[in-house]
Amino acid sequence: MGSKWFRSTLGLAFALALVATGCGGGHRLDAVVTSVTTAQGWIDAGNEAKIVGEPLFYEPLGVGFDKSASLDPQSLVAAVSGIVEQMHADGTLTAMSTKWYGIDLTIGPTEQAGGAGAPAPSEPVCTSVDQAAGDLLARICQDGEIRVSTDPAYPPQSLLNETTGEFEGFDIDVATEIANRLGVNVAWKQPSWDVLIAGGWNDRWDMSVGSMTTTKDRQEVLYFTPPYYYTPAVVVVRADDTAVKDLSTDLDGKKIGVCGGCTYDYFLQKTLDIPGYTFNFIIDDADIHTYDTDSTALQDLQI
Amino acid sequence: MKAEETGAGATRPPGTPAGSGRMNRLALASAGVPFRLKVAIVWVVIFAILGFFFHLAGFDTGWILDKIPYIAGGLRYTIMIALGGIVLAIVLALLGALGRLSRNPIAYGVTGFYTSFFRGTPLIVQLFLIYLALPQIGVNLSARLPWIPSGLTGMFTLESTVAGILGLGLNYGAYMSEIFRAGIQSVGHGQGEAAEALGMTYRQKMWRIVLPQAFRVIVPPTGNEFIAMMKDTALVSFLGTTVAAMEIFRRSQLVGKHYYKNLEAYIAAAVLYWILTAIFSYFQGRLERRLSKGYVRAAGPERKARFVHGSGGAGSGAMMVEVPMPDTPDEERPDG
Repeated sequence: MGSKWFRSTLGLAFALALVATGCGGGHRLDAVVTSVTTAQGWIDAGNEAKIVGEPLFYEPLGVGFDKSASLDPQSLVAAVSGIVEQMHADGTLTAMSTKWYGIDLTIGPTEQAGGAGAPAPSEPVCTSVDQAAGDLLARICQDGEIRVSTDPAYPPQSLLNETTGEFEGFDIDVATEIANRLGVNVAWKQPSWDVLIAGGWNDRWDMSVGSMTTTKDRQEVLYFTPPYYYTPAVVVVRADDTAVKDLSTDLDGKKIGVCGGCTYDYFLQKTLDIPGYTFNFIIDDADIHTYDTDSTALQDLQI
Repeated sequence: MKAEETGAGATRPPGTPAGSGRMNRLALASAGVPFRLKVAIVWVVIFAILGFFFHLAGFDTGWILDKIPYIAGGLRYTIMIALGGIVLAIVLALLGALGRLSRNPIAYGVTGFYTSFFRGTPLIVQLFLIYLALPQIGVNLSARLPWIPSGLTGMFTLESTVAGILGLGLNYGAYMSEIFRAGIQSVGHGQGEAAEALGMTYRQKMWRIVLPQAFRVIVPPTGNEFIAMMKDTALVSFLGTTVAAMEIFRRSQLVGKHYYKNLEAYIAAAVLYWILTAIFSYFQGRLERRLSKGYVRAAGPERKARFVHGSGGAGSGAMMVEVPMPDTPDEERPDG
């Protein structure tokens, strides 16, 4: 096949070409799309990143319940929906949002600001529930405990304080307050996100307060309360990046990192469907890179 | 010992290769230094290089040291899951091996299917199937056959730790059944025939004669599997966890996410797993040496047997090699 010299050069060139395709020449990602709360938390932790431009969209986040639960959950859904509306009206949600996010995210893009000052009702829901009714709400009131799922891998929504062994975060506070107003205690469960959004919880837990967007696909398997808050989705880039300024043109075709199976993934694929909301898909042909969580995507952005 | 040509009066310690060259001169010059010390120096150099890269990567070592106690708290759950898994795996492996060696078509067929399926599908898929699909089966069973008590079908919904142990046991049992089969086949045919000639039943033959001898061949690869399983317990955290029972990986994942220091957290977990593996390997080595006692040529009073790990072959474990001291004449070697 030719001289030994030729063959070894060919082999070397081939190897270098392989390595070059793998290396990719520098940055793995040009941008990340995530919620403003996660992005701000990342920046506040001292990472060299910045948020660019206006939010891409607002997503409503509701409390979720499994449609296939063996006991009928609809009275529970109605009760918690009522509680969520009270919490909007009396300013509790606004206070919690300000505490954890620094801004009031409970106002949707088209809604009025929550009231402040109407006092919370004094009677917990369970005192007026017929415990013989045999549905999920009755069982919860009977046990005195509601099992709530959370994923403590998402600060500031939910995180584990390892010194106390307790969960902390906006979602934790909201769920605890809902349980208080029902008149029961909270037992925490930690399923993984994929198990959570697919429905089919097999009665392992009763309620999910996990900043879950109320998309059409999820509404087929889960009941949702009205939104308890909204998160704007924003674009995050490296702090020294100057290439991205106009979001409708500068991101087309670029390498964008998102959390896999999250609404940001669907937004980039232009398949995001939330009943009652329309979206302006301004990013075209994004080279989507999916990760297991937002923080892993942000980590890759810094490289 | 090879007969080497030593040139002009130079004496070489046995075991050093003939010929000149840089490596051989180094070996000669350092021949007085014990082997173990030289190996230790190599390790120190490797760690120094690694430490240099670690420093270059800019990890927050202070944070790692701060959080290691919390992450190490998951040790007992890791060990618990791994122990549960390996016990189940050993039982299944034994049954699987006996089935593979059997002439009974049902035993052979069932164990053949078992090893094929559980070796052929990914462990994470198996764990999800056990955790998510079994409850669905339970629910549908009780819907179709309402006379089954709901407590029974409720048992299909497993806790994540239990599902993890079950999945690990089934998966590793399939791989280990080949190990057990090789171990059983390594026992001489004559042993089994002698047992049958003495009138032992199959169970007596296996339990009293064959398996105790097979044990020695089975232990090293089984220890290997246990070490691998300790790392695979991390996959259980992907099913879901409870606050009380979080093992090493889950703890490191949550602490990392809390402080946005994922890499440092995973490094802490890696170090802990490594230490765990090293400790277990040490005990495994002692067990192997103990089991080998019946197989080593009897050592005489002036003889020191140096323990050498068998590196060749199919990794079948420890082999005792005798290294006679240089000044012991051959006539004193015992027979056999």
